Amino acid sequence: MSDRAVLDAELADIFRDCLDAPALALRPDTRLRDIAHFDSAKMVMLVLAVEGRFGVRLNSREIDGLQRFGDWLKVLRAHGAGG
Amino acid sequence: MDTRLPVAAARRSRYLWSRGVGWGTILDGFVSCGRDCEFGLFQIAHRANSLSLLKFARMPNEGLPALIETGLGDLAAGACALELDPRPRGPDGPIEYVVVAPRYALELHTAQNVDVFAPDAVLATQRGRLALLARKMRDDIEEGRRIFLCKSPQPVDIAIMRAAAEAIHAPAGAALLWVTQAQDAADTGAVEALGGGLFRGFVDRFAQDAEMRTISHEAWLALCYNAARRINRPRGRRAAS
Repeated sequence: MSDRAVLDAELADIFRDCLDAPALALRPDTRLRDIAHFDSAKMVMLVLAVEGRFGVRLNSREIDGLQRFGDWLKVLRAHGAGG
Repeated sequence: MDTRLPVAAARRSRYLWSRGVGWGTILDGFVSCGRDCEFGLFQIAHRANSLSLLKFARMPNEGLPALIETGLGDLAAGACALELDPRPRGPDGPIEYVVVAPRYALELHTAQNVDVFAPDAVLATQRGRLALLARKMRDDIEEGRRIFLCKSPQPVDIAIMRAAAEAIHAPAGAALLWVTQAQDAADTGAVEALGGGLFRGFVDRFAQDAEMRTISHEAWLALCYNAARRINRPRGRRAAS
């Protein structure tokens, strides 16, 4: 499995765990606001979990840009995660 | 020519959609500075979902300068004392933990109810949440790219608002929009510059107990549209106006 695929899988696991949705299907174009019961509290949990797991610190502009699952992948890669 | 959006036009969202402008995009450009939840609820109602520390918080206007100058750093570092205060959410609602930072007279909703969550777990969760949101608010101030919004339903000394504006404006030129109730209906939705990064805007009325159904949506929409146009103008043009 490539580094990118590992990153994708790890990030998807964090989403499923934080959103308590084990069967959640995620694609790069999946919009967060289209996920059932997604709200700002869950967004905070996701950011904290991702920062903790990947050892990164996201700034305000980056957080505001996390509208789709693919945005998270891009930001993490920009921070050096996933090769 | 007065290009201000009239309140009546705000009622018709098509007015803006036809110009390629979405309300959520406009309203995400504002950061609530607390006082109560009215503006946060208004943002949510119009699909503005950006995170901010004071979106669902209560804090007196007087506390804003100290929160910005030292409180954000304290919260971001996990160095601010926090307490939990269980309170009913609405007249018939469940009991919710409210997290309180006594040093800053700051109270924030948690959306965590006492019959579901243990207090220690809530406090741990809230410490992490507040650290993230305080860091984000500090970033927003340091980037100067968003408009901070503070409302005062009761009269407040302008010196307090100038001090708050100074704290917000000094790092990178961000503006503070101070929202008060219009004395004249014709002023609803208007924005005036008071200098030093402080602007005053007017709505026709404030919501009662920050309840969604009593929010004056049209007035807030007109105000935010006018403020975004006026405040986000290139600084040279803004200074000349």
